[in-house]
Amino acid sequence: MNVRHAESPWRENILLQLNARNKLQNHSFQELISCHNRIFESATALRSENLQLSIRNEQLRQEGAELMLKGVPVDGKAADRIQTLEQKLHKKQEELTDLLRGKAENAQALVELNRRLNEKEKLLALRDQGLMEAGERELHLKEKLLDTDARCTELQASNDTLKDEHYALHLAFEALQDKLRKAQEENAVLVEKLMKIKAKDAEKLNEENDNFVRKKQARVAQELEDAAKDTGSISPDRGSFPGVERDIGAVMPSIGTCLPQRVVLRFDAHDGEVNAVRWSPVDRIVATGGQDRKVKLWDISKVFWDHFFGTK
Amino acid sequence: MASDREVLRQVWEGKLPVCFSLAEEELQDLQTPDPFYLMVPRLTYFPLVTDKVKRHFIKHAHPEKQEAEMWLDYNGTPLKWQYPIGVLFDSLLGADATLPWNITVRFDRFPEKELLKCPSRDVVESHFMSCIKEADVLKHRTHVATAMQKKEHYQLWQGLQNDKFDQFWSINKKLMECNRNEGFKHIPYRCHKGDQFSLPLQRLVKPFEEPDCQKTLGDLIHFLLPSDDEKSLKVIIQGVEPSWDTPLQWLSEHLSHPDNFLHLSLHSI
Repeated sequence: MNVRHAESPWRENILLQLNARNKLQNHSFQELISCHNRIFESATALRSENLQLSIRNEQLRQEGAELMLKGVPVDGKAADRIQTLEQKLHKKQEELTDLLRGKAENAQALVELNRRLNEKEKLLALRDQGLMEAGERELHLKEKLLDTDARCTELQASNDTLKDEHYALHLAFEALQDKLRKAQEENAVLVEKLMKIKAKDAEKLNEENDNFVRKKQARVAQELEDAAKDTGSISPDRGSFPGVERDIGAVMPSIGTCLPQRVVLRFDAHDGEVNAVRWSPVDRIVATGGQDRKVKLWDISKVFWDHFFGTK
Repeated sequence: MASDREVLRQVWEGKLPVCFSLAEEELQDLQTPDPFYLMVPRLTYFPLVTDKVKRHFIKHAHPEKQEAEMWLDYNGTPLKWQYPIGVLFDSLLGADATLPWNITVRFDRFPEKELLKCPSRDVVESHFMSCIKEADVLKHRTHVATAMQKKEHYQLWQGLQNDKFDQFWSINKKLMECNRNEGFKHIPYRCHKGDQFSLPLQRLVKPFEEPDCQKTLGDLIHFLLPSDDEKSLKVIIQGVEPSWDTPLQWLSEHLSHPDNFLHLSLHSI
């Protein structure tokens, strides 16, 4: 079939026409249009480049204009001007160096001042700290003060109550003192009475004693008288009772001359001398009287002095 | 079988010089933008080649219309993007037109009634694939296209989009396979009468009248337009005028567009 087609005139015709078509529509324009496109692209590129360049140009022109404005009066007395300008420049430079020096000094001073400022700030900080501490302390003290005040008021109150109590007690004390005085007075009266009674008693007793002693003395005197009357009958050489006579004669050669040889009992009874000692005729009591103006009764069985009274 | 690589190659390499220029009423600047020249393959579609054109003209268009879709017209006729560029050219200008082809670029007043919107290349792809499937149904009924893998579909589309002859035909030859004696079931073709794109003539035509007796181009034209005289008509396919005795089967195999349709442009002399 292909072979047949390849031979057939319509195929040749079509192929020819296609070739012609492509030659006409394609090949003849291909180059042209690609060339056009290249040119088109390069034109676009150039246009943008041109735009940039024109902007640049504009800038340069502006700069040029500025330069022109600056550089217009450079002619004629240019040399003089340049010289004066140079001199001025020189001066300015000197000024500049001076200023720079000043600036350096200032900078140093600034550094110094900064240092001092720092120190001051530190000091200030310390002070602040101290101040703060003081404030705290003050606060503390204030609190303490408040406490103390409170305590003070408490104490005041208690003090008041104590004062009141004291006052009341004082009153009571006064009353009691009065009472005491009265009691003392009473006591004094009573003592006086008692003294009187005692004195009376003593007197009575003394009287009794005197009586007793007188009676005894009287009896003794009586006995002595009796004895004196009987003197003849009784003689130591009589020998009525030989044994007895001898013994009595050995022990007591004489009744009237019997003296104590030694101390049997000894005790302190009075301050000072003891003037009188006397046995109670009825009781086992010894009475002593001394220079201290006292009479003391002694219970022999108990050894202790039992009672005393003096005339003070 | 489409085995005549010489013819296929020549068909594939057909290109048209086009001069795009912005419509005068849409000019915004005083300066007219330079026209944009481009060599466009006959077999491809306008949305696949006009990205540069849009970029070139959009800065000259009205600022409010720059978001709008660009559309093209020739001599006041809006160009439908869904037809291959070669078909548009053959139908609107004929074989002996003056070159380059002057096309006007417009952004304003999109003719909604005449043109389909084309927001992206995906729309073109889906249209192209649907055309291939339609043609496949006419040719085989066995649905060769639907049996193909997605990768092969993609290769067809990429071959067309990137102008790669081998990539395209390594897949497309499967679609051109047929019984040696019977040819295709029917010939997929669209016959455009003059510039009336709205109503392409389409009727079922078998490539063989009887076994071993092939139908020719002349038979087809006579079948479609029995009243018209053959001599007063000129049929242009792929920019050429085949002789009347060319077999339809061979034409369909070799002069079809990538969408597998044979596009005939009729002009009366």
